[in-house]
Amino acid sequence: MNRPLISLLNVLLLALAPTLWADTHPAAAKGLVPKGSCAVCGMHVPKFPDWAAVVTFQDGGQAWFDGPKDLFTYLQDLKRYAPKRQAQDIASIQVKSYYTLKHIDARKAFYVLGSDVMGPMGKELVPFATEPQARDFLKDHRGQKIIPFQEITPATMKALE
Amino acid sequence: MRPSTLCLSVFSALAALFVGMLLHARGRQSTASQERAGRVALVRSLGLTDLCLFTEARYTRHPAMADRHAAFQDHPMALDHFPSGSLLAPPLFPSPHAPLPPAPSQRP
Amino acid sequence: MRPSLQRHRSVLDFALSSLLRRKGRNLALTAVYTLVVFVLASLVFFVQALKHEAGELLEHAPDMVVQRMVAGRHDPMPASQVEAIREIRGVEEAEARLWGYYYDPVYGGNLTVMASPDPTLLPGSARIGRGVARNMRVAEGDMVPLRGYDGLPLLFTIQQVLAEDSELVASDLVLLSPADVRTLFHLPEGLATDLAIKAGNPRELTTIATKIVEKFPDARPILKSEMLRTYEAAFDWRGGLMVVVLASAILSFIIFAWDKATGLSAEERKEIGILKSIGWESGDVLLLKFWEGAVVSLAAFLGGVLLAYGHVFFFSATLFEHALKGWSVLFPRFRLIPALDAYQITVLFFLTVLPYTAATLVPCWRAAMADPDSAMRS
Repeated sequence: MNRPLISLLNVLLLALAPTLWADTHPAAAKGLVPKGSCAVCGMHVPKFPDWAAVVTFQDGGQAWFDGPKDLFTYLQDLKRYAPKRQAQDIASIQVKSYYTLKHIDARKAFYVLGSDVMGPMGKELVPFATEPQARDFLKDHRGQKIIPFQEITPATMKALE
Repeated sequence: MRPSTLCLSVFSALAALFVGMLLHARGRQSTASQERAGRVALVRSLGLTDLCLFTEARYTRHPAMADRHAAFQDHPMALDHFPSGSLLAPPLFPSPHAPLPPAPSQRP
Repeated sequence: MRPSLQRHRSVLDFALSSLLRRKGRNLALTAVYTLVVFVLASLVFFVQALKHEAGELLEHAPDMVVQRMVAGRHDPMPASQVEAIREIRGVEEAEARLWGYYYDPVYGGNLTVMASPDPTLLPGSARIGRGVARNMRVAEGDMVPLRGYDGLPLLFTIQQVLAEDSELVASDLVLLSPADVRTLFHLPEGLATDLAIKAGNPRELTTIATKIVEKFPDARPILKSEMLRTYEAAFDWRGGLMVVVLASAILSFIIFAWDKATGLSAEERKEIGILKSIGWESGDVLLLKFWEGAVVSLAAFLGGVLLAYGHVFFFSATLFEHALKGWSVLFPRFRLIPALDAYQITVLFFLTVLPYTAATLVPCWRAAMADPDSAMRS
C-alpha cells in the first residue's frame, strides 16, 4: 500500500487521540480526598469515593480503603498489612456515612450487615452516624443486624465473603 | 512547480488546521468550567431542571418536567404540532429506575 | 527520495492533472461532497456539544422533583408536604419551587416566571433573561407590565438582565419575588408548583421516591437520571434530530456513490485502455484512481469538518437556528463549548471518505482487469 496516505492517516489518528482522554472529572469531594489504592485489595480508591475509608496514623501517614470491609480486614490483621505499624499508632479512623456521604468517626459508627446495598467489593458493612439511621436503613434495605464498631470480629467478616 | 507539491502543501495546511481545531476544542474544554460557572450558579440556586431550547409550549420548554406523555401528548408515537416535537424522541417510560406505584390498598 | 515515494508522487501528479482535465465536474463534485460532510459534521458537533452541556449543567439540577398529579396533569401541591418529605431518611434538602408559564400577548413570547429564593429581589422588581429583554426590547431600569390572573396589569422594574452566558438555561426566565408570583398567578399561600429534593446519597433516591409515593399517592417523583435521559434521548445518535438529517444525507450520498460506482463513462474506460496499452499495469491504474479518489474525498472531509467547526462554534450554528426555532418567538442565543468525540469524528471519516474511495476504485478495478484492446474499441 502507499505509505504517504498511511502516514497521513496516522497523523490524523494521533491528532484525534488526545480527545479520547479529554474527559476530565472535577474533584467533587470536600475535605478528605480519596487517593491511592486500597491497602488491602489494591483497587483504585478514587473510583469509589462513596465508600472510601481511611486510617490516619500519628505521624500523618494514611491508609485508604475502597470500603469498610477492607478497613476491618486491615485493622484485624495489622501485622500482615502494615508490619511497621502498631494499633496505638492510629490517630483516627474514618468511614463514609451512607446517608450523607461524609466522613464520620468509624469507632462511633453503626454498621448494618446483610443489606441489599452492595459496595465495590460485594457485601458490605454499611456505616451510619447514628443508630436510628442504621435502623431505618435496616428496614428499607432488608439488613440483618446492626453492629457497633467494637463488636466487629473476624467471625463477622466471614459472613461478608 | 509540480502539481503534487502544491497538492501536498494544501493538504498539510488542512491537516495543520485540523490539528489546530482539536487543540482549540481542548483549550475551550479546559476553561469550560469557568465559562459555565454562571449557568451552573443559576441552575443550582433556582433548581432548574431543563435547558431553554424550545419555548413554544410547556412540554417543549421543560421536557423533563412535562406531563407523563409529553411531548407526545396524545400517544407515544403521535405526530406533534410543533417541529420540535419531531426532534424529541418518545419518553422511555416506564423507566427501570422509576419507582413502581405501591399496590392498591383497601379503602375504608 | 526513495523510489517508491517518487513513484507515488509521479502518479499523484498524473492524477491531479487528470482531475484538472475535467475541472468543472470535479470541482462541483468536491463542493457537493464538502457540503455533505459539512452538514453531517455540523450536526454531530452541535448535538454532541449540546448533549455534553446538558449533562454538565443538569448535574447540578435537583436530585429529584416531586409533582402532584391531578386528573393526569401537573397541579400545584400543598407546600406542607415539604416537611413530611424532609423527614424521610436520606433527604438532605427539600425546597418548594414556585414557577409557571406566562404568555406575553404583545410580543407572542412564552416566558417562564419563577420565584427567586434570593431575598434581595424585592417585590415589584424583576430579573429577566436575555431573550426576554430582546423580545420585549427592554433594558435594566425599565418597567414591564405583566397581566395578572384578573386581567389587571402588574408593573415590575427590571433590576437586572441575566448575564449573556446564562442564556442556554435562562433566556426566557422572569424572576420575581415569591409574593409577586403568587399575586400574578393567584396562587394562594401554602401552594407550591413542585418540590425540589436533594439526597445525601444518590443511591437512596429510588428508596426515597418509593416512600414519597407511599406517603402521597398522587405524587409523581422525577429523578435526575430521568431528566438527564430526556436530553440523552433527544440528542442521541439514534434520536430525533440526528435521524432526520443523518438518514437523508446518508441516503443521498449512497445514491451518489452508487451512481458513480456503476457508471464508468466510455471516455474513462477508453483512458484506462490507453494507459494499459502504453505499458501501465493494472496496479498502476488502480493507484492512479485511488489517488484521484483520495484527493477529492480527503479535501472534502477536511474542508467540511473545518467549516462545520467554524459554523457551530464560531457562528453559533446559525444554519440550524431555523430548524430549532420552530414556532417559538423567543429563541436563546448561546455559544457552545466544543465537546469533540474522537469516535464520532472517526465514524464520520469512515462514513464519508471510505465509501467514496471504494466507489471510485471498484469500477476501475473491473475496467483495469479488462483487455485494453476491447476497452479502447467499446
